[in-house]
Amino acid sequence: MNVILQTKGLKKYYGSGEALVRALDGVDLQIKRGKFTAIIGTSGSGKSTLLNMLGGLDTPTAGTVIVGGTELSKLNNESATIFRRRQIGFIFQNYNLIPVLNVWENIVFPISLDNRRPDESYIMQLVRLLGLEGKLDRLPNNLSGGQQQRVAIARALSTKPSIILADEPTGNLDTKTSFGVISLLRRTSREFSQTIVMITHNPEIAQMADRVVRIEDGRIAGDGLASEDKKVKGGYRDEV
Amino acid sequence: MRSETISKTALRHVEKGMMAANRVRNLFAVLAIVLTTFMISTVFSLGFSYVTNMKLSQVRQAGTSANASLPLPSAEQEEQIKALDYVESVGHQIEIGAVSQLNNAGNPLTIAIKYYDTAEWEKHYQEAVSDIYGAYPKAKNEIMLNREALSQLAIDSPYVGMEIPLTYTDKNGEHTDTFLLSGWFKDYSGAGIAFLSDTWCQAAGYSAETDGSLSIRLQDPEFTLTRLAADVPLREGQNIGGTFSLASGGNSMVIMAALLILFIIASGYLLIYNVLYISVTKDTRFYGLLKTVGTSQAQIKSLVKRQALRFALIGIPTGTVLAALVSVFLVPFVLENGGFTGIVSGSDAVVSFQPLIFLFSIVFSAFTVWISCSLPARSASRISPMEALRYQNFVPKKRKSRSSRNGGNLLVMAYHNIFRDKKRALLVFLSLFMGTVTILGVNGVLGSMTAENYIKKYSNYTFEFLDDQFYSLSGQGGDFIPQYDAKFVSQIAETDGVSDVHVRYGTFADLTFDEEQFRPVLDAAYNEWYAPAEKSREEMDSDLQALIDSGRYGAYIFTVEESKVEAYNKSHKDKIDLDAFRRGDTAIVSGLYYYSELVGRDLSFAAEDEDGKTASFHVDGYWSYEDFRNTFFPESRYEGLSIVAPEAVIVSEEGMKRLTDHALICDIGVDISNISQLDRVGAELQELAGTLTGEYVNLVSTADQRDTWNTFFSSLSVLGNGASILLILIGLINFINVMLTGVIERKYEFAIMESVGMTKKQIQKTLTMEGGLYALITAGLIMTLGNAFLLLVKHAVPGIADYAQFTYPVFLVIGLIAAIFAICLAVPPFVYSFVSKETVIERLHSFEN
Repeated sequence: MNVILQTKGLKKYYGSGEALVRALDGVDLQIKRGKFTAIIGTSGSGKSTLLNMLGGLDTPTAGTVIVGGTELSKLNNESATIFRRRQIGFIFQNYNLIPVLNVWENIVFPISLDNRRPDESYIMQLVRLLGLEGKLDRLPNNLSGGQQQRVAIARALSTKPSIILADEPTGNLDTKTSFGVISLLRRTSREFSQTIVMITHNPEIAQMADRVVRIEDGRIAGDGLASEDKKVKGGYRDEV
Repeated sequence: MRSETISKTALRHVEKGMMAANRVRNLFAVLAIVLTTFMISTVFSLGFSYVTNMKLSQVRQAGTSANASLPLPSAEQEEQIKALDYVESVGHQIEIGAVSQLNNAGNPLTIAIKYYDTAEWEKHYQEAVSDIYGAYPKAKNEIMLNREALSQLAIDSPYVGMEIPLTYTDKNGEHTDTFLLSGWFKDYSGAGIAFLSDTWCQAAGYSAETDGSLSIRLQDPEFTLTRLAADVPLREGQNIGGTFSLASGGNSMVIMAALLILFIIASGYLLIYNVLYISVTKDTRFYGLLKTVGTSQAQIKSLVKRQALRFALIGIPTGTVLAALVSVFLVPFVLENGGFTGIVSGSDAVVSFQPLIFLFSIVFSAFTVWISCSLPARSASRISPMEALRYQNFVPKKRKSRSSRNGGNLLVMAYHNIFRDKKRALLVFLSLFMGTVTILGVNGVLGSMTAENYIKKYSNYTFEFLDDQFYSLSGQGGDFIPQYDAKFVSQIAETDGVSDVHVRYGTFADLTFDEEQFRPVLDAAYNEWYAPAEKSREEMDSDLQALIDSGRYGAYIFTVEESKVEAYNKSHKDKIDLDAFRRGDTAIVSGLYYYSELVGRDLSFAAEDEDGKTASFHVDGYWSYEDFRNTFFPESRYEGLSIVAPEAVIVSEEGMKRLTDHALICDIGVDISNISQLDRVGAELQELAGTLTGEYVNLVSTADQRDTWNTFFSSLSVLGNGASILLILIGLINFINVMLTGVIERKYEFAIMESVGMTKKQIQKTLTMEGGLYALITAGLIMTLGNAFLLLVKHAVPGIADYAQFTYPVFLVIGLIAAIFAICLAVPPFVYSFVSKETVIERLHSFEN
């Protein structure tokens, strides 16, 4: 078993007493290296909270998140940020590109923050794969939503992170573009043996992943192969 | 009608909501208006006080508010003058004579006796004096005295009706009478003055036509003085005299004040505009939403303007009240506690509190607010709903691409961040630059107007011991008694604080008359003096012969420091051979213009003293009045003895030795190392002078000049520095506002950066670099455009005050740049630490929601 990400008894509670909200209520999850996992669930099920915990953007009320052997809760703010920069790639629904940087600069931004020189051949490989040639000098506000999301994917991949976390990456895109973006994600996952965890509320998009984890009321309600999920509703396997 | 009311009510609710949601912006906007109003009101108010005090000072120094005078006016001339439309008032003055008695110490009193008619006294003279007690004399035996006259007469407690026995001389001879004191007053001439009545004048046979003059107050004297001379037919020998204004730089002052007000309005505009512009930009989506739901352009415009109106309603009254407090309390406090004892200072100074000025300032401030909010209101009204929906805060709008590969570098990112919104950046640079440049400009001017420069211009030395015998027309070198000796000079040199002692020697020497040598001088003298008076050449020759026969045909010979000759050579084309002068072979003649004819000729002198020798000097140069009196001998009052012999002949000490070994010390110039020690050193020199027994010892101090200078300088300094500090404050507030709103608007962007691995330290570093770049670019502007402006100031300085010498304010430039760097580097990370307290995810969510 080559587990890159693991959570143990992960809980996130908000408020107290009667107003207590259990966003996550004891999630145990293991993600294997090189796999493309989709987390699905209804709105408010806790899937985004889980993703934020996995990326160290939020701190759990209880439980642990271990990425590549590092327990995130043991890192201080500064170290967590640096860890995120090197080990985790984020793809957001809103793309979240930096408006003053052009496409190239946005892609290599996390590498620049580490004072490293980017591996240009690798970056160009990404650029070609994502169809961004000829757009490297563009500023983000002059790109379409799909193009911006492809830049965000390239940025997430640029540091060759241990894991990529994608939060509703197709949420702002039309159906055709959405499938295009997910195909690219899937392709990069295979081509670079990249671990990807993606949140989506769209079951069709989720079917393009290797594995689908269903969250309900802050707990894992199902876990199985995407193809099986499609065939057998509710009948999930424990492990992929 | 009803729907209109509903829409108004709805918009007011929106306005209220916007006000509540933008507290920081409101604070900055109100602060901007308070500062702008305060500055406009203060500059107007202090400027008015300054002009009033300046005018008062001029009137007091001139001793009258009249601008022109006409001696011995005929009744017809007076009628003609009164009829001229540019003549404001006309008064009579009569110089009656002088008090001719001695004081208790046996020294002669110097009290002039005059008569002023009612118009002269009330319209021209009362402005020039203060603290008037009693009334102008009416009865024949009444007299009015100024404080100086009372002091000379040793009267400490005057009262109306007090008997004043006086011995005085008038055109009818010497008399002794007892007058009754009708009043007294304080004036600023420094001389004793006594006024007698019209009745006395009539009884003694005095009239303006035969003994007096007309004094005339003109409208726009600069232009009308020459017109007056042309409009009134003058008798032969009659001239119209003009009182020249002290304020040679009057126009420059007005230009400076106008520039200052323009800068203040522009700075206020920049700040108010920037606050509102940023606010409108930030609320772009909101205005788009309003448009989507049907709000009209006019309604959105009014929404923005109504908010500006609210700020103005708080800011303008607050700023005005603050300015009024400053004008009423702070300025008199500064004037009274500044230790100024000049002509208009301390309690003598007039503090203007003119409600009209404040009304004017309110209008100006309201105008500034109006123009500042107009453009942002228009931009808000023109936002299209579609644009608004796509709008992202603080995103470069026009630029589509940039072929750079190093944008991830923190410094490069900081640079791009500054110019994301070019207009905003430009406003900050302009604002910071204007504040700084005003401080530099004002200080460049103020720094050039030092007491030292003033004294240097108007006095050769800080103190001067003069031998008054050399002022006397009756005396000649041979009769003079030495007043100072070498021991006294060394005592002066040993006085603590004295930096330099300059000794000049003088004697009187007979001049050998050689008609051939003097022919050009005689021709010129005849044309200048005798011909216009319709006197013959023979008459002049006869007068000259009489002078030669009396043994009084000669000239004063003075030594001069070599540095003065060097200074002359630097500023004149016709150089003096310094070596020959030093050796004592040559001399410089001085006086009326035609003595320049003597250059190149040889003059023979014989010193009139016990050791007198005869020596011949080759005349190597001529110093005009301007050179001699105003530049090299500014304190000199030596008068020429004749219109056909040079007023003064200047030689080196070696040259003097060729004439006599017993030349007298006629002048000891004393310089001090620090102007702040002027009073102490002055007191010590006065004490030293007290040890001398000579009756012609005269110590002249520059303390009066310094005090006069301080008077002018104090209000100027308060005005200029106060306005500059406020201007730079506006610049800094603008910068802080831009950084604050910039950081708040980019809160989400920073959260994104953190989410992809940028640490808080790196973000703070980027923001510090942004601040540093703001400072660097501002410093660059200061060093280029700012210095170019200082160059203009340097050229303008001589026009503002003739004594001003521009000095580059090097420490101020360094200090200001350092302060700008300190503030620009500190503010951004400080602001960021406040807005980044929430977790990354909280900040990301706050935007998404």
